[in-house]
Amino acid sequence: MSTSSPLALRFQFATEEQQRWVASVGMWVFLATEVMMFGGLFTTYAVYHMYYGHAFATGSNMMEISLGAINTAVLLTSSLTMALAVFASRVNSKMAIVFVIATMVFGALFLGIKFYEYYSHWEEGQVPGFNFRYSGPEAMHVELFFLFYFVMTGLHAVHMLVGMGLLTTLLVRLRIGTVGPGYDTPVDITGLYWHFVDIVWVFLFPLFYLVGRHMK
Amino acid sequence: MPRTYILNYLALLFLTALTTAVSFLDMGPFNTVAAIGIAGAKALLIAFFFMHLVDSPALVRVVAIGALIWFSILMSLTLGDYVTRGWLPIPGK
Repeated sequence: MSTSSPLALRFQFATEEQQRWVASVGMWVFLATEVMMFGGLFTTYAVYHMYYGHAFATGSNMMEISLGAINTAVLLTSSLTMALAVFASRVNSKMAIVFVIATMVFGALFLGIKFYEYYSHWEEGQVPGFNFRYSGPEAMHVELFFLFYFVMTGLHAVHMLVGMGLLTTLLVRLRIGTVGPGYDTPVDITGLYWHFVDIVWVFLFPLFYLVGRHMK
Repeated sequence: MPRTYILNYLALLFLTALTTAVSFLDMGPFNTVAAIGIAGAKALLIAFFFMHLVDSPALVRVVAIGALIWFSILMSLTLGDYVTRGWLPIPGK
């Protein structure tokens, strides 16, 4: 076995099994720090939702629930194709490339729908600070709801853009053969990242579109 | 395995439809419980099957559980303050 092969056992590992999992552990540690970053926002959201529940319900009712639900389905579909890409990369680079492209298409569709929503919010005067025209009861706290909405979905969208960048490099590396059945770790950990971003959206969807629709 | 992934995907789509449908019913505080509960179930499905926690070594699971524990410390200590404010009368306030 040539020492330049990525799968060759490096001296710092006891077994190949250990070497294979070390990247996964590292990625999970990174994802744990991501949990804390989003977690701070989720915690702050919980506190203000407790204080200004009615205003948050008013804001929630101004959201287009169908777009949120469709986007959730789109993102879950991209997670399925990503999982299939990870599986395929162990046996066949060509198949993995097809699934990576599919993941990117669904990711782009998600971002397209998201930016269309942002555009609608701008048209409707629901952008806090810049263009906020709602002037009903508790207007300031409804504005706070939209501030949370833009910061949290915005941070999520930034993560999606990073994910799209990772998938692009993956595509190139699968194409030129530096990643593939012999060395699938990059596909594996990009998958972990993509699924994590999916999990964040799974919580954002109910918090902004569903919760408090009936709060009087 | 692809079969597991597709079944998992179908379960996730079903839960998305369920949480959306349930949000149209007026169940009082249980709307929030249902929304967060279903989101939690979806997160577990994604973590266990798409992210392979189901057949990962113990060390990977410990890190995943660690993330949850740190997040619950953040949540419980913060809410422990905000939720309990005003429970006890403070003289002069």
